[in-house]
Amino acid sequence: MNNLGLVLALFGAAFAVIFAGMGSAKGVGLAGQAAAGLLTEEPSMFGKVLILQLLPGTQGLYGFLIAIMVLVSVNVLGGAPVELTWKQGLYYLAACLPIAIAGYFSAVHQGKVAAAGVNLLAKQKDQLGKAITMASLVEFYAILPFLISLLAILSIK
Amino acid sequence: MKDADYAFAVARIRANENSLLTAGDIERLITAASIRECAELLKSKGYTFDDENGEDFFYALEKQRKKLWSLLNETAPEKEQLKVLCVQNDYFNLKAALKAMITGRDAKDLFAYPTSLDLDALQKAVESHEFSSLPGTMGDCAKEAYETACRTENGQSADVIIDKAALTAVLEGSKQSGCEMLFKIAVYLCACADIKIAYRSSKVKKGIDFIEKALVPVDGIDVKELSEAAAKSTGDVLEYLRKTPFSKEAELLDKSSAAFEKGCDDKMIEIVRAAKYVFFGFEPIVAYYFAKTAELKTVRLILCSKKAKADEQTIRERVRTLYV
Repeated sequence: MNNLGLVLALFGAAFAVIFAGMGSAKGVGLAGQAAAGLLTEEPSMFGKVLILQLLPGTQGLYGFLIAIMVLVSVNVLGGAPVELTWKQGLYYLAACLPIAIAGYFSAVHQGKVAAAGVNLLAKQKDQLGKAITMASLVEFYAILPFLISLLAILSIK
Repeated sequence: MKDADYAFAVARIRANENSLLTAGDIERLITAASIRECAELLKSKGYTFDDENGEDFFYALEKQRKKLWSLLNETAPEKEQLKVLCVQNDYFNLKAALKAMITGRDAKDLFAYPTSLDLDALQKAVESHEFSSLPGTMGDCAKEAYETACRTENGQSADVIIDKAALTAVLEGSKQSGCEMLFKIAVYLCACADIKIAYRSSKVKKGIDFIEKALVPVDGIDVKELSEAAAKSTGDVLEYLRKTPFSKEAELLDKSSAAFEKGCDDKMIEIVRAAKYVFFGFEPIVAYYFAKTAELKTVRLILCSKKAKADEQTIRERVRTLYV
């Protein structure tokens, strides 16, 4: 049971990567399907739809960064993990939850907005700016939990 | 099927919607000096004519219909769902196969497309009277229609059985598809069919038994009341309809059959327009099918009218409202 704190911290890192990554995979996949539908008819639109497809991918990146922060903080990457009490471990786990949960849902919804943006482009080719803006607004709700997770990890003593 | 599974299909359909004819295109077709000029405009919208003068426009329209069906088959994530769009043609083909068998003609020239049936198998089943091999409830309907036609030596009685079975299958299929918009279309289609049957039956003084047998029970119409009204007079039919949600249709029918047909087609497009704001789901696929079908109907009407040297005003009165 001496390692319980470390185990909890690693669970936190895993949650951050897994859930935020799952959300991004779903979001990018959805936008990608819509993009492929448009490209079947209009191959010249590749550059424009690629931007929209990429947008839901950021949550996975945020989750990955938080996980790296945890691994560095507990020195797992250095090969000599620090000893953590179960309370400290629980702090790390709790710190990872914002990006894990909000990252998952925001990525899925951003994917839907991006796919709808692809539909908008299919009808009106000059509306890329509006499509990106609408999808980017969802990003705000991935940035907030990312910052909270980051600040929480940095403040754990 | 999850709505998200339609992301590819909907985006591809949206891209194709750009090539649908607009009201401006239709106006240019109406005012075109010749069929050749119409053909030139249609070529720019993806229609292909083998004859430079556009005289083979029936063939060009058929090619567009085939193209539409192959697009839907390529894009729809669940091909089974598309079958509901073929139900009416499937039953029409059953009617054609039965008539061809009874009259000794070749049914191949009579078949309508798209169809979800294997037409060779349909012909074989009908010729060998093995109706049970037909899909779903079609077998029972075919058997009943055949026996009725043989017993009464009256093709109309058999037609009524098949037409009613077709409409019932459309209603059932649309309900099972889980697509609310498709169900709305099916209900409206059945209601319009009921109105037409009742009105025409009252004109030719059909008996109440025949009318009751022909009408399909559908929301908004009381089959018993409508049959009783139709057995009395056309005035009674219109009076009954004015009390139902189909009062507008009654007014159009009072005006002329052509106005009624146009009104029904326009209402259908009004229903499918809701799909413009759906990004994930079966609705945009259904909407595109009806939009393109309405376009082909309109182009056919214009080109036939041009061929018959009809004046612009007459054509305008009959032109359907378009989706875009």
